[in-house]
This record gives sequence, structure tokens and C-alpha cells, in this order.
Amino acid sequence: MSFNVLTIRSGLDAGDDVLHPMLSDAAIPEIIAMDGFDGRNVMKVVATGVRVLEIRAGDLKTLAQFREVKIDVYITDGRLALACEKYDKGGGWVGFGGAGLLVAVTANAVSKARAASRRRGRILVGHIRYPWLKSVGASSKSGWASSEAIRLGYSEKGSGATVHKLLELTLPKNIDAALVAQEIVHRAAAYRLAYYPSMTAEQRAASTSLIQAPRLAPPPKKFAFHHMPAYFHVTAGTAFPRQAQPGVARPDAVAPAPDAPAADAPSSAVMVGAVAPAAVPSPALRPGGAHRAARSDCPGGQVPGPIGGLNGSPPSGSATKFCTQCGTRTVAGDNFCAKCGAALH
Amino acid sequence: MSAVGWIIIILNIALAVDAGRRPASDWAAADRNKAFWVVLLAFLGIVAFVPYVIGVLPRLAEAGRVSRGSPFEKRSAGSFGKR
Repeated sequence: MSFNVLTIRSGLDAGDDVLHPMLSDAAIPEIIAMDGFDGRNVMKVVATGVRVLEIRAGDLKTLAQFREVKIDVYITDGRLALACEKYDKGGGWVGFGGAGLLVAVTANAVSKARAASRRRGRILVGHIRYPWLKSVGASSKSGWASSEAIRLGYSEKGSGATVHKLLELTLPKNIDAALVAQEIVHRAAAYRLAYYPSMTAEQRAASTSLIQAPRLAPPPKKFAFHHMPAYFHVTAGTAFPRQAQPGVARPDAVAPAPDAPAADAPSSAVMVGAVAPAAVPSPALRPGGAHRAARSDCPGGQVPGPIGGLNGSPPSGSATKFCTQCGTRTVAGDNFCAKCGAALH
Repeated sequence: MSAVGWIIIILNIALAVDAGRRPASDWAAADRNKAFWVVLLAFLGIVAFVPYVIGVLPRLAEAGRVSRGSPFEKRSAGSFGKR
């Protein structure tokens, strides 16, 4: 079964955010729940449309499209995530003449109300994690029929064949898509350097140069791309870096709080319950959130390797737990809830 | 036309100009259609005045406040030039 980068989440959804983002609490401004790799410097930009494209024989086939909607796009240290609350707007009725106009107004009102009812409590979400990121492109507005847009390339293994896809986001005309793409590629390259220390020298050099990649200058009505030196196919197992070499810290690692325990063995920080279209043999390894105590067991030492990714089986660990006070998911080994501070033991 | 009528007309024109001046990203963040509201304010006067002031202007103001100084905004050619 192929991977759909976009999905619809509700607040009642259980599971994890490996393949698709989870929703945050209503009290938090960000719609999407952040994880340990997102860091603190989350940049937000609003997009007006999203498309999922598949590259087939040199042509682009649109798999999904949402236009004229408000999409909150989050650029983090670990991924590009998006959330759209009003993905189903309804409306679209047109009338001519007095009576026609009245009918159209009424029909639009009913249609919009029905659409609101259909999507109540549900949000369209999606993300491209940086291990999956194959390329980042931008196109600038040059004329009436064009628009500012970015494209993120990724790939997946489907029925033996590799399928290459693009996530395209249309941006408002006063936003510089090339700058957005530059920010994404800088962060993705930094992520690779931080969490994949065993890259080949060539990949390391390419990633280092991408950290200082200049702003793209796309030709009119076309896209220009930055290409990552290596990438993983989209699976739950490749969403996060594997266990790091000792001493490799996350970019946003914070010093341990006075009450926090010493870092445990790597196997104590585990994500369970990966949700994926295809079954994943064992869960990936993942550290706690950025606001939690730093852990020297932070993973990240998996070599990206050649295109095609690696099939690894990180060690499993203890189950995910939830705070009894606020219900926030916690990582086994934490003594305090990262959100409300309640003691977990 | 009475003074009240002239005041309303002037206010509508002012709101239409203000709406047209706001950047596309503010309208996107407010989840409202810029062209629709600018045309409505410019041509339908009082019909658009109240719903715009109540339903749209606060959203635009909030979106503008949040997005002010966004590093992704294009800079027009001027003293700082284009990026």
C-alpha cells in the first residue's frame, strides 16, 4: 500500500507521529504536536494550497490537491509539517440574476455549513521528515499565472518499484519561496550532520555545503532544486536516526534539570506503535522532547547510505506512557511530565 | 446626500484601500479572500462595511501582528534592495 503524505487527524486519534503529525492540545498555539527533534526555533509560514504529485515517466500526476485553503506550515529542526483546519470548505455555487443570486447564496451557506459539519474536529495534516527529504525546490512568481511555491521531494518503495513524489506548497505572493526553501535545506543538512556522523566523506562534504546553500534562483515559471546527498525511503523505520555514537547531542539539547535523573541506557527511550501503511518489524528509536532533560543516549548515528535506505531493527524498549494529570504522552524514563510538570512516579 | 452618507462612503473607500494594501500573507493567515473583500468594499458600500469590520478586520490585524517581520517576506527594491 502506498504512503499518503497527507492524512486527516482528529483529536481522538491514538498512535504516534512517525508517518503523520499528531495534533497538539488546544491550549498550544501550534496545531501540530512537536517532538524531540523539532527543536525550539520553529518557523511558521502560511500556505494557500497543497498538492501531492507523483513523478511518472517524466510527467507529474496530481494525487491530491487542496486549493484556496489556509495551511499552517511549520519548519522545524526535524521536519516540515503542515496542518489545515478548513480543508473542506464547501460552497462554489454561482447564480445569475436576482433569483439565481439568492439561490446561490443560500446554497453556498448550506454547503459551507455541511462542509463544516463534515470536518468538525478533524484536521488535514502531513509532514516530510528530514531523513526522507530528497530535494527541496522553489519557484518564484513571475506573471499573473504563476505563484510562489516550494516542492519537497521524497520517495517510497511500492510493490518493488521506487515511487518518487513531490509535496508542493503554494505560498502567498509576498512570501519568497526561495528563502523558505533555503531555510528548509539548511535545517535538513544540519540534521544530517548532527544525527548521521558515519556518513561518507562525500556525503558529509555535500551536507556541509548545503548548510550554506545560497538562495535558489529559479527560471520563470519553473522550479530550481537543492538535492540532498542521500535520503531514506519513507517508512516508519527511517523516520528517525538510529542510536547515536556517544557524545552526539541534538542541536537543541538542553542541560539536565536539577531534579531530572541521569540519562539511562539508549533502550529506555523508545517509540512504540509505529503506524505505517506497511508493517514495520520493530519500532524506531527516538529521544524525548526538547524541553525535557538532555540525554546522552540521544540516537542519531545511522548512516544514510546510498539511495534505497537501510533496513534496521533498533532495539525495542519499554512502552509509551501517559501523564495521569494532563494525558500528554511521556517517554519511559521521564520522572516529570514535560507539559504540566506532574510527577510520573 | 447627507453627511452620514458621505462619512460612510469615505469610510468604505478607506477600508477598501486598507484591505488592498495588506499583504497576501495576512489575508492567507486570516483565511479570507482579498479580491472578494476589496471589490465588495469598493462597490457595495454599507453592505460590506459591517461584516468586514466585525468579521475580517480583526483577523487581518491579528495576522499582521503575528507575521510582522517575517524573514520570508519579500523585500521590495529600495534602501535595502532585494534579497
